[in-house]
Order: sequence, then structure tokens, then C-alpha cells
Amino acid sequence: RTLMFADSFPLSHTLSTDGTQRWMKRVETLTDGDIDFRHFPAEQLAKAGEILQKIEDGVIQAGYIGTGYVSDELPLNGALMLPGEVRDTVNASQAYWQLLKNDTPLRQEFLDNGVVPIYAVMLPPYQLVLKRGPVSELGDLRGLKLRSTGSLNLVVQAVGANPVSMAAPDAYLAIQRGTLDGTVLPVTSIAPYKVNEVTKSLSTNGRFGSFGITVAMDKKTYDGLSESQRKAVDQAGDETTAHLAQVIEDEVQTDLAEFRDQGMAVYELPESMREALEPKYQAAQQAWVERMSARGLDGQAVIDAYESALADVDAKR
Amino acid sequence: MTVFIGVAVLIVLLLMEMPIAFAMMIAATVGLYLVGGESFVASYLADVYHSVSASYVFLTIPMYVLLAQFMAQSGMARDIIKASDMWLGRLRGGLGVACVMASAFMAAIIGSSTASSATMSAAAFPSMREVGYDRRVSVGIIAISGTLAIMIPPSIVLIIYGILTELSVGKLLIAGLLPGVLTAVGYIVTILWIAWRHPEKMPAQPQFDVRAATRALVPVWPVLLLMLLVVGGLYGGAATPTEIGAVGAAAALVITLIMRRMDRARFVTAIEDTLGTTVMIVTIVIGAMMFGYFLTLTQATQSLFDAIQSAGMAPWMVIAVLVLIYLVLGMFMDQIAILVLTVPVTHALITQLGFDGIWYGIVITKTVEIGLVTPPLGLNVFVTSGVTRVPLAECFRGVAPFLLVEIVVLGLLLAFPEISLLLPNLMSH
Amino acid sequence: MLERIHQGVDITLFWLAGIALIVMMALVSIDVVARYLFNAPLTFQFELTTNYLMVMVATLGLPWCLRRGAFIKLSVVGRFLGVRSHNLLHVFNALVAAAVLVAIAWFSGVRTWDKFVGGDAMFGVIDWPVWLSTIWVPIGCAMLALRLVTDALLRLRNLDRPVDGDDERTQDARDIAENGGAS
Ligand code: NA
Ligand code: NA
Repeated sequence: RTLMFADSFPLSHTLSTDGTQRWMKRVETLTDGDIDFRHFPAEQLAKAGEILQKIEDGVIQAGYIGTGYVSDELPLNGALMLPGEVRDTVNASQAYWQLLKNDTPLRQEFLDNGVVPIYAVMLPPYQLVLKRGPVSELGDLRGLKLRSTGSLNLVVQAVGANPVSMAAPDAYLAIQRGTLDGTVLPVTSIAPYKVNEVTKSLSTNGRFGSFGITVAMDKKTYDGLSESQRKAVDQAGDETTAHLAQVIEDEVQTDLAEFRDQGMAVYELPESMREALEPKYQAAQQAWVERMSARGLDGQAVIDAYESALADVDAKR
Repeated sequence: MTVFIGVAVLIVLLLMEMPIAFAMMIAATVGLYLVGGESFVASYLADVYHSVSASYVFLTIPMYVLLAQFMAQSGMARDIIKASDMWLGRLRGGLGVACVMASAFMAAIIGSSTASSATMSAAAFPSMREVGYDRRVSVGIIAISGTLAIMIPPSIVLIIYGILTELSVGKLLIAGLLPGVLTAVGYIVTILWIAWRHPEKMPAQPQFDVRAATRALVPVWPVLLLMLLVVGGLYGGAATPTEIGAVGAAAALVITLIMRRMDRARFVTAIEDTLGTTVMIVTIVIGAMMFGYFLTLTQATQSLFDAIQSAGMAPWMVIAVLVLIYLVLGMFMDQIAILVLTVPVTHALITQLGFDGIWYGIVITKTVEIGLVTPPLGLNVFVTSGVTRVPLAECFRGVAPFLLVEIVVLGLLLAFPEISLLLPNLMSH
Repeated sequence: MLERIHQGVDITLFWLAGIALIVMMALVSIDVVARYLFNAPLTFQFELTTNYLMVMVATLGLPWCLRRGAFIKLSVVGRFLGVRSHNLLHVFNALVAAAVLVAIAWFSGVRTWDKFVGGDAMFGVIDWPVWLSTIWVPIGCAMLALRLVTDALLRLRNLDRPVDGDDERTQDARDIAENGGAS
């Protein structure tokens, strides 16, 4: 049968070529074409934040869900995006995927919205991308105007910088003209927005937060598949999680090398600054936990579960 | 088949004088029902209105309209048009030329052509009518000049194109400069030609008086102050274009209050006109988005490009056909929707054929400019009609003479990629 | 009496939209000034503006803007029709448009209700309630539908009065041209 699939990525984007497109191809191969897809890329059917709703409404059967866009529907899944949590893509993705595969509150949130998570990766942690040279102490960040969005604003503010909200497409001009002093972005998102053309330095070991990239399928559709078809879908999901996380990690290294060649200062934040940042990360997590409990949700349990899943993954590697 | 029913419903409704926004919403609803039944209709009707209107970028439109409204209500804009008329007025068509030059100047501030048209409509139209310009000619000049805003940097269209194609936004923006200037020159030539052929449509001022002209410059200071604020703010980098719109509007309000040119009635009119224009644009974009989702679901656009790819045509033929398709689509659809729906596909196609992506971006932007002023869906003309309250049909007729020069410029851009690529290439060496 | 209440509601909604517009202008301006002069931005401004004020501006003025001719149309068949049939055509158009707007109001209203009952909140600088962001759409669209139906009924009772159109607009344009924006 033919499933309608929607995402928000241009066809040439890594998250499409090595993520959604690759998963669909694997499912088609593994089921000998019993399942195939009609792919609607690049927000053709819905904006990124509305794809989950479109699956719930029965317009499409599967699609990309960015956890940061649906904090109203998947609030607990926001835990992985908190500052401090994600250190690298590969391990964080595996840990997150383990939580989504097993019977956890994170999986339950998806199920409550009528969808089954199929695969998941975490983007590399957000880094400081600045118009000025490297920063070496917390004081250097004071008053810097950085583009950021949503809950990321909280940590940007906590480290003394000024969050400026604007659409990502505007960032290029804003930095070039000095409206902004820079932005916080995952390494792999810098080149697509050309931000490297207008900035001078990039940190590599900041942990200012991350972003969850998941794909989910309509639960009724999923339950209606035959046993072997479900297996194929799951297998393709496992494979895609592992493959895509590795591709992203490789892309981080390639991008960093390229930015270095272009004369950008690619640097590590010094130990002293990392120590100064740690309490800021912790405070942001605590604030999130408090706001979740105000809504009757146990955020701390999710953070703890993630930490232990991450420890398992670290131990295995 | 479904796609034809949807398009037919749209056309019939438009001919029946159904308001354009509603026509698109209704046709989309019928189409969505045919494609996916009640659940599709329910899903899109529930979400699209909110999803289009809850947008920070959209805020740019009411803010620049409000800025222009405050200027217009306080007579500031008329002061500057009067002053420029004093200087250029002895030239036949001088005020029209001044309008193009003012629009080109505004284009260096504004990245959205509807915002630009709205501003110039409120500012220039009353003055053009006052000195006896033909109504149709006036709205034509205003509507067409507004399109300069998306070619001359900054340009929201080129930024979106850059993001869709992952090309250098900086280069794309620089690439638009020469084509933008070329286009402005084309408009000026057209205006002078019309003025020469039909002198009665653009009466010249009888005499030129240096002292009067100089004196006319004095009341212009608030406008210069505002322009300094806006241009300085943008190029000095104080804020984003959206923010500058808001600050500009606030500054305009403060200045008019200080000058004691604002009263309750004018303030109300400014708010009314701003809300009216905003609602008009928002509802049309909502209709276009709904109709676009319907078109996507029928896979009509995709099939069209697949057919081209498989036909095995000569590269230049492909470009010619694509440009033709963009011009046709541009007549019926929202320009941003067209870009988002097609550029990922067509850009891949033309780069495979060995064409330059930046040059193609400029060509596409030109077709967008044309689409903004061609009937039945010509957003710039809608805005101009909405603000000036001149009937839509007359506005479209006013723009018609300029379409010829648009096609000539498009031809030049196609034939001489150097016009688009000279500056970006200089930049990379 | 009923019509006066109806009109009062339309005007009130319009002014709510107007206030939202001015508040947006002020908030964004204050944000910019605070950021650049005092390094103290209004962090809530972006989310408040995008999710609430902008939606209000885009919806609450709908019924009032209908009166002011904000919904432009092509003038095509009017010249081939008599006054009565032209009026009937516009009655038909208004009712069909009202039907779609009622559908939008209904479906977006149901969505809003779901969000309200579910207590959905967007995680931002604060927890932003989702229903307060979406509720303006059903309100604006329902009131526009009501206004369209009311106008259609009024038109049905005055079928011999010429359709508002080019004539009136020409007059308006002339007014603008003659009186300008201001002295
Ligand atoms: Na521009
Ligand atoms: Na058009």
C-alpha cells in the first residue's frame, strides 16, 4: 500500500537524503514494495510544526516531527533539547531512540497523540557562532546579541547574552549588518544558512541545547500493517537512527574542517569557562523541571532516564 | 482530473465577482474534499488561517503600511512629493519618474514589494492626482514601482530562494542590484514615453522656480529624518527590517504628534486603512496557501516538471518553458507559494543542465515581479487598488504598458547572464 | 436593535485589532530601543507578538474590513447583468463565502476547544496557552460570516439598489484625491 509522507526538508538536505528518503527506500526494499511512499518534501503539505497534526487528522500516514516545534503536544520530549544534555550526536541519538522504543513516558507522549515513533536522532549541540573572535570567559558573552528561538532564549539569557528572536532566513543579513553579534546553531545548520560567510568564530564544545529529529507513523496505520511489514518498518527505523546519527557526526567534522579552511576560528571553550557554564546549564534544566511539574509532568524522571540510557550507550561503545 | 475541477471552480468564482480570497478558499475546499474527503477539509480549514497569520515576518506588512499611513495622514509624504515635483515637475512625467526613484530608494530599505506598494500608494497617489495625473497611469506607476523592492537588495524573495537552494544569500542579494537598476531605468523610459505620447495624462508644471523649489524642501525635514532612521537603521544594522518598520511607524507617529498634524480622525483612518490592507493580504495568502496545498496533493506541479524532465529538450528550451510556466503560474498563484513549491525541483533541473543557480534566482525573481502585477492574482495591484481604492480592473490596465518593458528586461537577463553575475563574481575574487 | 448590537460587536472587535496593532508597534519599538540602548531586551515580545497580537490583527478586523471593501474582487460579469440579477449574484456569493467561513470557524473552533481542554502550552519564555492563540480565528471568521449573511439579507430587501462597486470606489478615490490625506 502507498503511504503519504511529509517532511520539511529540501530534497538535498542530509536529514532528507540520509534520513527520511533513506528510511522510505529501506522500507520499500524490505517489504518488496508492499509498502511504498508518496513523499511531500519541503513543507509542501504542512509547516514543520503542523506535520504531527496532519498525521493525527489522517491527511498523511507518516512524517517528520521536530520536537522543538511541538512543545505543546510532546512537552516531555523537550528534555533532550535542554542545555547540557546532548554532548554528541551519535550517543545522544542512540540513548534517545532507546527511550522512544521502550515503554517510557517519552514514547507514551507520541502514542497519546496517535502516532508511533519510527526513528530519532538528536542534532549536534548548539554552539556559539560569533562575528567576533573566540570567547574565553563568561564575561565575554555579556550583552552579545544572539539569534535564538523559543526555549533556547532561556539559556542565552542565563549566560548573560541577549536573545534576539527572528526567522532563521533573516540571520544572515542581521549578522552581516551587525544587527546581531552572532547566533547559536548546531554545526550542521551553519552552512545551510550561510552563517559561516558572515561570522569569524565557532565553539566546538558548548552544550547550549539540541533539537530532536523524529519520524513517526500514524498508530492505526502502523497497527494495521502485517507482522512482517511492521518488522520491516522497525528495522528500517533502527538502521536509519544509526546511519543518520553517524552521517551527521561525519558532517560535523567535514563542516568544521571546511570552516577552518575558510579562516574561521574553530575553538574549544577553555576549562574555566566550561566550569562557569555548568551551573547555568543545571539551572536551565531545573527551571524546566519546575515548569513541567507545574503542569503535572515529571520532568526529572525523564532527565534521569536519559542520563542512564546515555550511560548504557557510552558503556557499550 | 481533480486539479482541473479545482482550477475551474476558482476561475468561475472569480468571474462571478467572488472576492478573490474567498474564491481561493472555496475552490481549495472543494478540491481538498475531492482529494481526501472531509478529513482533509477539516484539517486544513482548522489550521491554515492561524498558521499564516501567526508569523513574525508577516508583521512587516502592517508595520510598513502603518508607517506610510502616518506619513500620509500627516501630509508628510505629500510634502516630499510636492518638493520632488517642484524639482522634476517641469519635466513631462517628472512626478512619475520621481515616484520610480522614490520606490527604488524605498526598495533599498524594504524587502517586500507589497509593503513597498502600500507605502508608495498612500504617499504618492494623492499628489499625483492633485497635479492632474491620469488615475490609471498613476496607479500603474505605483504598482509596478513596488516590484523593485524584491529585486534591489534586501529581498525576501531572494533570501527564500537562497535557503531553498542552499546558495549564498549574500551573492544572490548583490546579484539583484544591477537587474534592479536596469528595471528602474526601464520603468522611467516607459513613463517618459507615455508622457511624450499622451501629454494630457501627465501634465508638467508650467515653470521652474529655484527659490520656490528650495523653499519646498524645508517641510521635508521630518521625512528626511524618518528616512535617515530607516535607512540608517537597516544599513547601520540597528535592527531587522521588521523591527525597523515598527520603529519607523512609532517615530512617524511621534513626529506627527509633535508637528500637531495628528488628530483623532486621522489616527483612526490610519488604523482602519492599515487593518484593511493587512486583512486583505493575509486572507489572500491564506486562500493561496490552501489552494497550493490542494495543488500539491494532486501532484499537478510535480507531474508538470517530471514531464519536462522526461521530454529530453534542449537546455535553453527547458529554461524557456520553465520561464513560461512561472509566468503562467504567477498569474494565478501566490508568488511565495510558487517559489516554495517549485524551486527545489526546478533548481535541481537547471543546475543538472549546467546553468548558474544565482542567475536562475534572478530570472525567477523577475518572473515573480511580473506575477505580482499580472491578473487575475496580482498582489501588488491588489494592494495598490486597496489603498488607492481605484477599481482593480483599472489598476491592471494601468500596469499593462509596463509589462512590455518587463518582458524586455526578462529577455535581457536571460540573454546576458553577466548582468546578474558581474557583481557576485567580482565579490568572490 | 439587534443590528445595533451586531454593529457594536463588529466595532469592538475592530478596535481590539487596532489596539493589538498599536501594542505590537510599541512593543517591537521598545524591544529594539531597550536592546540597543540598555542591553535589556523584552524577551517575551517575539512570542507574544507572533502567537497572539498578530493573529488578533489578522482576524478581529474581518467583519469591519468587509464593510470598508477590503475583500477585493474582479469586476467581470457586472456589466452584463441587470441591477437585480447582479444583486442576486452577490447575495449568492456572500452566502457561499459565509458557508466556507462558518466551516473555518467550526473546525478551528473545535481545534481551539481541544487545545483548551488538553491544557496545551507552548514552551517559551513562559508557558504560552495555545487556545488563546487560536481562538481569534473562529471568532473573526464567525463574525465575518454573520456580517456577510446580514448584508446579503439587507441586499435581498433592496434588490433595486445598485451594487456597491466601481461607482462608489470612484467616488472614494476622488475624495482622497481632492482632500488628500491632510492639509
Ligand atoms: Na529591496
Ligand atoms: Na499574477
